[in-house]
Amino acid sequence: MKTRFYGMLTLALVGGCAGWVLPAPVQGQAAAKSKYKAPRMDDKKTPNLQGVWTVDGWDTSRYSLEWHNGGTGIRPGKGSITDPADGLIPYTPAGRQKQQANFKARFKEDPLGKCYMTGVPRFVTGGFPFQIFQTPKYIILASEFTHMLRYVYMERKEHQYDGALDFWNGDSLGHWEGDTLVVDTTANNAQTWLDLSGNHHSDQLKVVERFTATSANTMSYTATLTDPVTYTRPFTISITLHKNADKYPQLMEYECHAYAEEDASGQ
Amino acid sequence: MNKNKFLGSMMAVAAATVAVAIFVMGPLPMTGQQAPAKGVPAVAADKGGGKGKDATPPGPVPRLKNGKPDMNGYWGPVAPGGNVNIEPAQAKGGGAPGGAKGGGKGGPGGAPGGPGGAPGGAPVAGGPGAGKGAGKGGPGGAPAAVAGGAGPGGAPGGGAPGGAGAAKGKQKGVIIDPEDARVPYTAAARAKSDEIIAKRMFLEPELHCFMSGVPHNMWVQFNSQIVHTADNLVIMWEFMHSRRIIPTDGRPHQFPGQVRQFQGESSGKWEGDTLVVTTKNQTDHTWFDTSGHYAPKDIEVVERFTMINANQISYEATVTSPTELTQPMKLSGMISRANMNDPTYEQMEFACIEGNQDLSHYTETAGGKAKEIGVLKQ
Repeated sequence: MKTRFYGMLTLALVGGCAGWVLPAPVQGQAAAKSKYKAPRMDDKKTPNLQGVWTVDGWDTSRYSLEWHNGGTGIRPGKGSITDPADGLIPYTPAGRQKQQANFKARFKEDPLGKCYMTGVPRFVTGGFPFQIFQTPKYIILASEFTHMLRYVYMERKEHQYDGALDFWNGDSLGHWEGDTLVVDTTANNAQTWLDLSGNHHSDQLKVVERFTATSANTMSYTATLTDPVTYTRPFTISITLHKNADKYPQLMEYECHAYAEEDASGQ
Repeated sequence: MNKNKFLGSMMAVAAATVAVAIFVMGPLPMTGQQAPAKGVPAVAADKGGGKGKDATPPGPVPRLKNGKPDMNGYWGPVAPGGNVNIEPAQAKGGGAPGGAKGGGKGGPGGAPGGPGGAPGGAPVAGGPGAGKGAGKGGPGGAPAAVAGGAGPGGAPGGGAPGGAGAAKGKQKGVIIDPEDARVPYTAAARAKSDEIIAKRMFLEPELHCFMSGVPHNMWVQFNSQIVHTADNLVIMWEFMHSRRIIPTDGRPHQFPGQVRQFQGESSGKWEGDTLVVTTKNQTDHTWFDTSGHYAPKDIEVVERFTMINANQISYEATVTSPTELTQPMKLSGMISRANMNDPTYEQMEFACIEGNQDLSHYTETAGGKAKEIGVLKQ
C-alpha cells in the first residue's frame, strides 16, 4: 500500500493533482477581507459552499505544514503556516523530538500509508478531493480517501464526547460567522498525523477551521490548532482550496486498503 | 473511535459471525432504535405485522424547496433485505446456514434485547435476511422497541422487516423475480458462487472493510443517514462509513469500461416523485449478501426510490448482467425511517480499516497463500 500511496504522490508531483487543472493559488489569502459574495442556498441566506474541492498541486502542506526541505517523497516548500511568522509549528522540545523521529520512520509509520482516516485538518490539507453537502442541520464533508465522512453539526451547541470518546476525524460543530463557515473540532484521537513529515498532536488537539468562498471556484481555508500537550502556543495554517469546475464534478473512490490487498495478492 | 478492535478479532471466523459480532456491540447507541417506540408512530410495525393498534398514521411526504420528496433523515435497511443471505434458506450449498435460519426468526428475536441493552443474539442478526423471517419480521418490531428500549435487539430484527413483502404476505425475500427468489445465475456463475461458498468465504467483502456495492449496501446491518440536497442524494451508512453519492441531475454516465468503483457510478433522475438511479461500473469485489452470492462485475442496477409517506420509502431494483445472469433480477422492499424516538440521534464513527487485524492475516501472515489463491480473485 505504501508503494501505491507514494506512487500517487509522485503523480501529483509530476502533473499536479491528476485531472485537476487549476490555476496557481494565492497562498494565505485573507478570508475576512474577501469581498466576493458566494451564491446562496435556497433559504436565500446561507452561503452555498457545495462542490468538490481540493488543494492544488502547488500547495506543499500535504508534505509538511511547516517551511521544509525536500526529502524522499517530500516536495520542498513553505507549507501553510501563517502564524507564527517563522512558518514553524511551535512544538514543545519533546514534541519536536517526536516529529523528528516520526519523519525518519515515515515510510512505515505514517497512518495515511496504512490507509487510516486522516484526522483534521489533514482531511482537507492531505491532497485528496472532498465534496461538501449542505443542509440546515448538517454539513457533510465526504473525502475521496477511503470514503471518509465528516459530519459537521450545525444545530448541536455542545461537544459531547470530550474526555470520554475520541474519533479519527473528531467531533465537529459548525456555525456561520457572516459568510464564513466556522467548524470547531474536538475529541480527536492521538493517532493521526498532520502531514507526510510526521507532524503530530495529542488527543488534546482542538481545531477551528474557517471556510470562506473567495470566488466562484476558490475558497479560503484556515485552521487554528491548539494542543497544550504538544505545542507551546496555537498555530494557524492558511490554504486556498479549488473547486472542480467540470460540468459534472465527480468525487471518486480512493480505496487505499483494497489496493493494498490487490498488490499483495498479485492482481 | 475504534469499534472494530472488537470486530476485528471476530472477523476470521465466518461471514455470518460478522453479523453477530456487530450486534454484540450493542451498548453503542447506533442500534436498536429503528423500531418505533411507545409514543411515536409505529409505522414499520404496523405495516409489517398489522398489529400496531396505537399506531398513528405517518404524515404526508415531506418536500424539499424544489418540490421533490425530501428524504433527509435516518433510515433502516431495505426490508426484506438480503444481508445474511439474499436467497431463501434452503438454497443449495448455502455457506451460512446458521445465518439464514437466524433470518427466519429475525423478528421475534428482537424481544430478548432487554432493557439492559443485552445483545439480542444471533437470531436477530438475521432479521433483514431472506427466508421465512422476512415475511414474519413485522411483529418483531414492536416488542423489540418496547422491551428492548435502546438495546441492540431491535435493530434489523425489528420494525424494518415489515415491508412491502410482509404486507403482501407472500414475499419471502428481497428477490421477487425470479419466482424462486434465487439469484438467476447462469450455470457457470452458479458453480462459481457454490465454489466461493464451499471454499472461499474469506473473500466476504465486509471482512475486508470493502464498501458493499449496489444493491447490497441497501440492506447492510446498520442504519443510514440520507443527506438530500437539491442536486444530490447522499446515503451514509454508519457501518464502515460506507456511502453512496447519487447526483440527481440526470447526468450521463461518464466512466469508461475499465474504471470501476465499489459503489459504481450512479446517476439519478426524477420520474415524478420517484428517484430512478442507474448504477454501472462496479468492481468484481462485492457480493449481494454475506453468504457468497457474488455480484457479477458487469451488473447494471436500476433502482427506484419512491417515498410513500413521511416515514417510508418504497425500494425497487432491477439487476441485469449480460454474461452471468439469465434474466433480470427484480428486488423489492421497504425502507423505514429510523431513530424517530431520539431527536438528538447521531451516527458515530465506525473505523473498520483502522482496527482490522485480518488485512494482514489475509495478505501477509498467510505465508504467501493469499498470493497463491488470489485473495480477491472471484
